[in-house]
Amino acid sequence: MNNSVEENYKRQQSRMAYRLLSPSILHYALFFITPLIILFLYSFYHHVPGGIVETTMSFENYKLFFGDAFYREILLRTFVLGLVVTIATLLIGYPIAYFMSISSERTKSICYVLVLAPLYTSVVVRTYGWMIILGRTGVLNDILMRLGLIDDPIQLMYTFSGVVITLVEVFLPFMILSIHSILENINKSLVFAAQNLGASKSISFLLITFPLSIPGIASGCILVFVLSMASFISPVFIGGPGFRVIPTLIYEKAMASLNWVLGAAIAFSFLLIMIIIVFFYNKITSNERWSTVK
Amino acid sequence: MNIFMINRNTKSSIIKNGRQFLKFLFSGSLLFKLYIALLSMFLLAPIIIVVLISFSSESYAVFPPKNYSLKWYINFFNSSEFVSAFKMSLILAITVVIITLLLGTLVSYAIVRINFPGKNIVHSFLLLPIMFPAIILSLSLLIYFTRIKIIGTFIGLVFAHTLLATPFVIKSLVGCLSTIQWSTNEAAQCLGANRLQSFFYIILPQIKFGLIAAVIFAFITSFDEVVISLFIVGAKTKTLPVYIYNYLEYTSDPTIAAIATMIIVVIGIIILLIPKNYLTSIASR
Repeated sequence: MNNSVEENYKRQQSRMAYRLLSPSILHYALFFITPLIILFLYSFYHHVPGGIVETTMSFENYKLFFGDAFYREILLRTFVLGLVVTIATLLIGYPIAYFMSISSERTKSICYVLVLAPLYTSVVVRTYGWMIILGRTGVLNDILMRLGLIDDPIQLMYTFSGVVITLVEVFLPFMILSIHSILENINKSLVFAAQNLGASKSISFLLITFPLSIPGIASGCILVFVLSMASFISPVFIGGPGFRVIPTLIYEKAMASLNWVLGAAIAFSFLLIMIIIVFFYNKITSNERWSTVK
Repeated sequence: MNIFMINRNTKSSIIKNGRQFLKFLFSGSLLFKLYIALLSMFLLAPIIIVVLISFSSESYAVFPPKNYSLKWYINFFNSSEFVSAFKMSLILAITVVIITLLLGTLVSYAIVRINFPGKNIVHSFLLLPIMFPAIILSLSLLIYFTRIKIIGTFIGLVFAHTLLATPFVIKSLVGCLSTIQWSTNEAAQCLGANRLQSFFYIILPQIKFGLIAAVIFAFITSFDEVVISLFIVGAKTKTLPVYIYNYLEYTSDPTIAAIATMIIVVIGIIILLIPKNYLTSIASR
């Protein structure tokens, strides 16, 4: 008797919960899942010049994408771009995250403002700023020439390094915040204990703080890697028309050559590659070795 | 700092103080300050330069500007296309805020207050659009909206932006709803308050900042969104970021800098209203 009352209550609660959730679930089903299913179907369709699609299914779009050396090179460039940006943000961001975690509250809040200010500025605006800085007659070349460090302006616009510089600035806040949130929660008494037992500052950092901060590095790296591989605005404006990565290729196929089916195949392959990377990455980094001491 | 008070009487003390000075120079705190200074220059450089360029009187972007003027601001307000794109973005963002707040409140209440099977899965599914690559979503929405014939319409933009903004609202509201003392709500109702009264007098004051943060994040998400909008806007529904994107493809005169500065100021003022802990909890996804 008592049991059935409890069960009844539980059922009532679940029904209420699903009623509250249903508008959002419906919205996601209609405008998130359905479009992705249609994208998946389109990737098998046949393209007829003029923007019409034939609904005959085949793997020809995938064959075209993976079979062409031109597309493979773009895929590789996207991957390398993601990798370089991730490593650069990690090397630049880790020290600042570490110093933030050991500094006073006042310094910390100044750092927060510095790190967060760019995060809430539109990417288009910041990319425009970088266009002014990196140009041949831009701010950076101007400063370097006045200091006498270079004689001729260096070409940064429309180059790989220009895109890397911009993306590092765009994604640095994510890396810093990821690492900082972990460093902040490290039990400080472990560090004090190590130093009490005679470890120097650098030893206690290497043996205690750094290993404990690896989960933060891991989550920051995958976040920046995925975001920078999928970034679109900075490659378009800083990289220029000659610089192609997968996102700009998808845009080109969809908007310029109106080849939606090939665009869909590229988009889906890209999504699949990223899911596989994230999956294996999580498998490796969730290894117990990294999370024994809490 | 005593290291600068050099005692000139003895040579040894100079050497001693010199050593101390060198020690200070290479100590963590000074290196750290230098590093912070360099890094903040790097992070803020594009923003500062855009703001300064917007007051330039030259017709192309040179830095530092030789003369200052407000002509690019006047240029912005004289261009009916810019102003209509601005209005479009504003109306869109406000619509998105209202819808996401309604949807997000229902979801967050269910997640925080009710135990039901599959809760964790539903929760992480609803947060998924944050991590999802925008470029893939935009092509799928382009194809889908063309098929159901809402491509280029206002309603299509609302559906798309609502999808992007909902996770931020859920994050912020789940965060603050789970810190509330729900017993105070029950106490108020025991003492004779009806549900509406207990909501307005007990719950609302406790979730005030979370709500403000949710509104602001939903607003910024929609107002700054460019990649998806680029695929699904029509000629009459161009949002401001899309207009800037199209404008930058051909010219780069400082009108863009003037708009950018206005956006920076608007968003800067809005952000100053959010308490710091909400800012970081949502930024660190």
